[in-house]
Amino acid sequence: MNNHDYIIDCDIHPTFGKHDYARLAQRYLPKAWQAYAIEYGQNVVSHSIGSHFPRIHPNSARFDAWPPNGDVPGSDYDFMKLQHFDRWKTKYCIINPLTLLVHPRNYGFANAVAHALNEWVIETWLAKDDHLRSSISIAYEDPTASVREIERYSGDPRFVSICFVTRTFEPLGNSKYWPIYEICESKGLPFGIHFGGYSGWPLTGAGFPSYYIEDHCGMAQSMQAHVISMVMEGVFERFPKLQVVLLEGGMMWLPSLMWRLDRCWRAMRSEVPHLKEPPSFYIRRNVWLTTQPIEEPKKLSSWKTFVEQLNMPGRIMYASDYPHWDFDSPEKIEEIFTVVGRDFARDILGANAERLYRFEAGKPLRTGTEAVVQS
Amino acid sequence: MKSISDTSERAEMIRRPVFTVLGPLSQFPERTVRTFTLDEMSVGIVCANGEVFGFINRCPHQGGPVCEGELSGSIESRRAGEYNYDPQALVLRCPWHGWEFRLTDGTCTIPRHNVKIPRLKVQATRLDVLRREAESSGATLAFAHDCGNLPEGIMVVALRQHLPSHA
Repeated sequence: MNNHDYIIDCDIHPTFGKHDYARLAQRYLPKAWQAYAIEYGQNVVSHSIGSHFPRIHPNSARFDAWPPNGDVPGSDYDFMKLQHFDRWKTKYCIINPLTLLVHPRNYGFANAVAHALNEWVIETWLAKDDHLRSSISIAYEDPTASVREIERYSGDPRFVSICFVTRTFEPLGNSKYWPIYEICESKGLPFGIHFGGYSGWPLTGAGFPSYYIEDHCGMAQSMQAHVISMVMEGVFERFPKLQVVLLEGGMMWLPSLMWRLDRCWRAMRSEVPHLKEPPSFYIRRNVWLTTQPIEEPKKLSSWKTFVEQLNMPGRIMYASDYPHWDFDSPEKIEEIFTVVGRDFARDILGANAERLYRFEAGKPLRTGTEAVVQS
Repeated sequence: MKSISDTSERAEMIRRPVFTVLGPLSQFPERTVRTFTLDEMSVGIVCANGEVFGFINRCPHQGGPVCEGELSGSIESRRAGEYNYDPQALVLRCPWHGWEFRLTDGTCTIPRHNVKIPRLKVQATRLDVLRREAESSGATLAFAHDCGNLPEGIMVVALRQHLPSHA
């Protein structure tokens, strides 16, 4: 890395330390929801019993990401600063809290948890470090309440986006979610879709797999399903300025998906007459890609072909996924995309994200807690 | 300007092995990996099966600190659904993406992946033997510096002459 280059990391995952759950509940959850959680549990529907991380590595984390204080990876700011922010000299890192990977069926509780998460992010992370930014956590299955939560935080410049997971109750083009897209568009907040989640559905249409490796590779199909849904349902006709960021879904599948969609659209336009342009038009206008987990073709020159086929200049951004095990290092991303061009690689590591997100400096508008509005 | 004698002296210095004493063997229990910085390069020293191994601490995949990962046995299978764990076939697993490298020669266990982590010459030897070797090879100065006030007995030693110029 040269000194004049800079890195913006679009996807990091701070998480609760061992004692944060209790502290979070006591501090930010209203008493009634604290009692609810104790007496009834979280009321989630999940396809897996037990750990939510049936992963290759404990906590789905890099083995070297366990902080020396013995707490879990991603929970210790000082260690994360040392191992990630300082190591790569990141200019900005965007936090995508993944706690609502499991969405409670009780929407009131889900909203209370989302709000508590936003306050936790402010207090535990954003208040400590001016270079950190975050997505707003929302109980996305309850769009009305989600809009209120976005309203509440969208004035704080440290919140730069919204984040969904790929295992939602409905495909993301469903009009149920449109109020969220409407406010994202009006506030200029990019809308992120992050791989993962535990809705009770299998990740792909093939049903529940036997192996974690199948689930992990299924990220591409699950991401494709949402992209197809959003395009076909006319989300981008209705919200032409909405910008969607695909997080942790890989990238190389997108050119062939655009070819497939355009072919189908030419043949079956009468089924989706609201689409005035070919599907690839909307994808190129409204979708952004992040690099992680990067594909690894045998020849680096394959990336030149991909970039040419993709034809989405300026819409690839670096993401590390720190502290998770499938982390990609900036060095690797630089090596890969330098094959396309030195400036191209540099833009992926920093400049492209700077064009999309609002990283403007400035003091936060508010730092205190607010009462949770229960729906 | 350097004189000819200066130049040949430098050449001689480069040719000589330079010992780095990493510590008494008691600090290297069986099945442990410790990392050190030698010549500004991170290296991992592994003690297992009664032997001492040294590797450059950099994974050829994405540059992860491979020697800070797990030292474990290997899982093999002859047919679908069969899992065989061989506790003796030790591998180093990179903490980032789990790429495995055989302890015996640093080669990668992934089929058709002809990459390895470079091995470093490391030995466990008695300090008095080491002193004699150091004196006879002319590396006394560097050796004495590295040796410090370490107690006599068997020491783990890296030979810095064998560090690759880059990893």
